Amino acid sequence: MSHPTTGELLELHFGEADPLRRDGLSTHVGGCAACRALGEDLEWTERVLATGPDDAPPADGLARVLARVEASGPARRRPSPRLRAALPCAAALLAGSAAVLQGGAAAALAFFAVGSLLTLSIAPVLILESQRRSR
Amino acid sequence: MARALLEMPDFQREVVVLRCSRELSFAEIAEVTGVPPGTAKARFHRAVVALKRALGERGGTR
Repeated sequence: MSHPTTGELLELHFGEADPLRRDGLSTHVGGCAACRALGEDLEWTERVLATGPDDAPPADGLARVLARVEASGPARRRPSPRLRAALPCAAALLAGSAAVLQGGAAAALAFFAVGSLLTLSIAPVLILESQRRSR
Repeated sequence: MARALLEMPDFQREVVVLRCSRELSFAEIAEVTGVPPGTAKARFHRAVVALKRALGERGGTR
């Protein structure tokens, strides 16, 4: 058997491997030091994220570090394909509205459009997390 | 460790946070970030390599 791809090894580690391939992948990894090394790296990473790199682990490990990372440098989400498709329409709507309307009315419309886009941008995350909670 | 995460490119830090903090699957990460699943996995792997290198160089445990 040739070596699995990195993607397959990641899927195996996180329990997302194709059930039809899982046993074969596990057997290969069990006998292949090179492929096992990636799993060990992933375990090391998870352990370090959970406890910190020092001998004295912080009490709240991952939660504290990731909260800090998210707060100071949030993982910016690129717009989903649906949102990207909607952006030109929204831009055209805004441009047209600005040309027709003056002052406060245009500003109000722009404010409404931006709010709608922000809602759309976080909708996938909210839906996914809702689905996960319901499982 | 926080510094190592903050020094990563946004797109790598994003997958680490979504995978390890939000516990999203790679398929879900792909959907949220708008990239193919293979790209999400590759970014995560590169982030792991970068973390290992950065923390190893700073005297991390291993």
